[in-house]
Amino acid sequence: MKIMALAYKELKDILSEKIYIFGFLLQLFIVMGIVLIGFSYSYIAQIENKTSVATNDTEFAKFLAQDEEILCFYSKNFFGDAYVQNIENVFYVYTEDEDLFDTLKTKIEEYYFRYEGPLRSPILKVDFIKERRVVPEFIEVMYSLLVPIVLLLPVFLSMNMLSDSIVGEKERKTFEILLASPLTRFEIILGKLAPVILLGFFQVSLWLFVISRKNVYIKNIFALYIFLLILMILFFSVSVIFSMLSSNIREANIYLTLFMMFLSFLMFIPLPSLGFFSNVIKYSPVVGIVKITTNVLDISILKYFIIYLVSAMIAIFIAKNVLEKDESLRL
Amino acid sequence: MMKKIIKWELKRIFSSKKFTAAFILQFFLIVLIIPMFTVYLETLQSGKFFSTTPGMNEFIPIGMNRKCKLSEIIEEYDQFSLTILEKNGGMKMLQKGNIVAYILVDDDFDQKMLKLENITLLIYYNNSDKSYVAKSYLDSIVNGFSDGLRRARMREYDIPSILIEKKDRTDFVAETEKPKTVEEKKETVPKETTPIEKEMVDIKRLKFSLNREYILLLVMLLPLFMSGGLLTDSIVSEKEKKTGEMLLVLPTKRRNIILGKMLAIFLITVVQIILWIFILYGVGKISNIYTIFPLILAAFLVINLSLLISVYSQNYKESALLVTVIYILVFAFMFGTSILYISELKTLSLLSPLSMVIGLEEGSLTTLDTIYGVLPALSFSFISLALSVYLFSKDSFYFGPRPKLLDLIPDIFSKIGKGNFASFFLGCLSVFGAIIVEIAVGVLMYFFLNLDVGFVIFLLSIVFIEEYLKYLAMLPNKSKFSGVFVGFGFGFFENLLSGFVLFTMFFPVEMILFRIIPLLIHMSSSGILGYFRYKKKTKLGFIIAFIIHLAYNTIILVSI
Repeated sequence: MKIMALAYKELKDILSEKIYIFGFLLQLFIVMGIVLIGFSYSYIAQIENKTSVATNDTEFAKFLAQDEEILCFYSKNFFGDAYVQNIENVFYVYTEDEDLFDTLKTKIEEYYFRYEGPLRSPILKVDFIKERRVVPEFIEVMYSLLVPIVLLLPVFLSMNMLSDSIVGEKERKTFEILLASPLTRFEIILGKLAPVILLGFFQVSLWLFVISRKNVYIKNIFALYIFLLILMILFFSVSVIFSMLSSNIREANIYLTLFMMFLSFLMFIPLPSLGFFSNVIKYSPVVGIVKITTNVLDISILKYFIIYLVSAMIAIFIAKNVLEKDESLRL
Repeated sequence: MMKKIIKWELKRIFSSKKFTAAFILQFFLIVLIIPMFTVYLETLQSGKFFSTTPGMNEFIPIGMNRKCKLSEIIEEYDQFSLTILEKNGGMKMLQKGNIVAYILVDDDFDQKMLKLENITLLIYYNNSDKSYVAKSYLDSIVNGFSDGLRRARMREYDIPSILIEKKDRTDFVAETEKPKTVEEKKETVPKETTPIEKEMVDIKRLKFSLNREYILLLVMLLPLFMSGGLLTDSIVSEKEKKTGEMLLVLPTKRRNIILGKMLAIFLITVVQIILWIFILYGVGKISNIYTIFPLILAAFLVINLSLLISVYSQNYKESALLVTVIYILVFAFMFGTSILYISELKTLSLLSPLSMVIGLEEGSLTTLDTIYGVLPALSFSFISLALSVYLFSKDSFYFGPRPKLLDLIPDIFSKIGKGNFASFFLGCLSVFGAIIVEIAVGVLMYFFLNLDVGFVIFLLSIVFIEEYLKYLAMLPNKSKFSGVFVGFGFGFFENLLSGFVLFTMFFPVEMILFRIIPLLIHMSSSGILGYFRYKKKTKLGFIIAFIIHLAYNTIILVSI
């Protein structure tokens, strides 16, 4: 009950701050912008994947037209990205693009030997039946990158709110009064964490609703919420630790910004796959989120829950210990 | 006096431990990024597979009936998580959705492959969204596999390769002009003894492959981020600690104080950019030393935006949040538009100075491109600089209470001037406001309302926003014809921008001539509003202007 009073007060504090409301509204636009980025990325990727090739060989033009990724034209002039000229079965390929030249080279070989037994395409291809129009690039970029960003955005921003509240109390010297109240240190942490977690869930739900307006649906919402709860406890405890260790808002902000930059680098930037490193990346929370939101749940997902639950426990334990040290209170 | 302030600032920054720490951090990051960058390029060239973004790890769960050479190739992709399943189990998993594709290969796949025989491969997909992603990857893998086999057969059966010659675009003109002589070239490909497996797969497809320029830009963001932080720190902390009040009483104009602070930070940023670029140039990571200039331009823009934020914010908390949000937006915009440089919309992409970096690196930047690239960034920088100087000169921004944002607009407008020419300029300026608000409203409608209702509301709100902004712009000018000039400015600038956009999208010139009519509509609607305002019947004027504008927009949309 005592925790509730503290949590209620914290919630009221946060909601009465104009700048948070402003940040909240901006997040809405960021989330919507993210979905639009997904659309435009897939649009550009589709255009970029299609190369236009002109040729003076009508048979070859028909052959090339079977490839969905090449727009083929019959022309006696240079046109598009490359021009293939067939003069008595010597092929001249005019292009500046090395990759395109290689692609066309295989295409020409495939075409040239199309009737000769051993060189016909060695693997039988069966057409994919398309029931509805789904753009693979959109699915890929949306579910593997943008949805995790949308889900983690409130978590990251709430870390700032939390540290503002704690360091603010330290600066205003009201934290000592809070410590004098009949609440244990652990209860104080819980009381501080509860409202931010609540707001975090509210935002996550809202953003999920927003993206669902554009037909981006996710699976296993219940499991996702549990996983996010664990992540929130972990990250918010880290935020508590940072704010206890810093003497003013500016310092706490610098720590948090560095921490978040490091995290987003690990979570969202493509990294080369190098043995051990790529194995570590497999346990990134983003991978967990992607698996929960897009796969049918099975037992293998438990390892993510266990890893982050243990880390969250450790983090909250450290946070409590830091809070118990009185020197971290005196500036 | 300004020189003194610059000197103080520089001294303060260099003596602070935080700056030294940040500087060293940057240095290490850059030193770190260079070998990482080399690893990137090497991985690219060696044809090893990339882990794409971490979220793509094991994104596509698939099944296969046996281990073979193909499964080894698939496993090299980080995107796949492959499980070996016998047929019945696999099909069940496919139906349940645990896997999105199931590959069935011949039992003697490896033997057949080594003997170069035909191979049958069956891939089953379920109808989940991910199966489309799986299909697009598996297609390219299977095609690569198929190509590799064909190559191997060509060598095995000693079939002479056909002649394929690579030529440049410029050769085409030269070739077509002179009569062609067909050369008979017949070289037999020497039979190589390399094992087939080695060159079996030749996959070009690398999704999300970052190109050089992007990594370069990423490095350059560091000094920009830092400079913004330093500036807000310097201004906001003086506000919080009340030491800024001492500065205000110095026998100099307030303008000089703020310009001094800005220039000090700008100087440091420029030095950093030059330093990093020279290092990168020295180790051969960039090819053009002139990339310094667009980067400095971008830095100038970012610094001026942070200046505006720090003058506006009351405390550190506020400025930190605003800076974060604005940086996200600015960088998203800069990177987003510079992506367009690679595609067809080159001119539009030049709105972002970062496109010029790519242009310089590619060597495809023309003089006209440079003008298009420099103007928007420079004008935005100076607008925000002028705004910050103006806000800083107001006592209420230093001592509070801070006036509301909306109350400030008429005040700022009247600062610009009260004459007809000023009205014209304000009309031009309000186009920016209109664009931003209209995009925001448009996005909201797109998300939350169905197409028809959303469209109607969007149409109404566009007219309302434009007329209201034009009304705000005509407020300082008390004459009868203020509205006409504002409308003229608005229409003129709108045409200029849309002409710019239409040009880049390859619209015919007639379309631009056609834009005379909206100019007249803007002039008449706001002209009427201005006249009624002069007659003290603003509300009536607004309604009439609204109706005229709405009628025109509706007619245009219906006729399209």
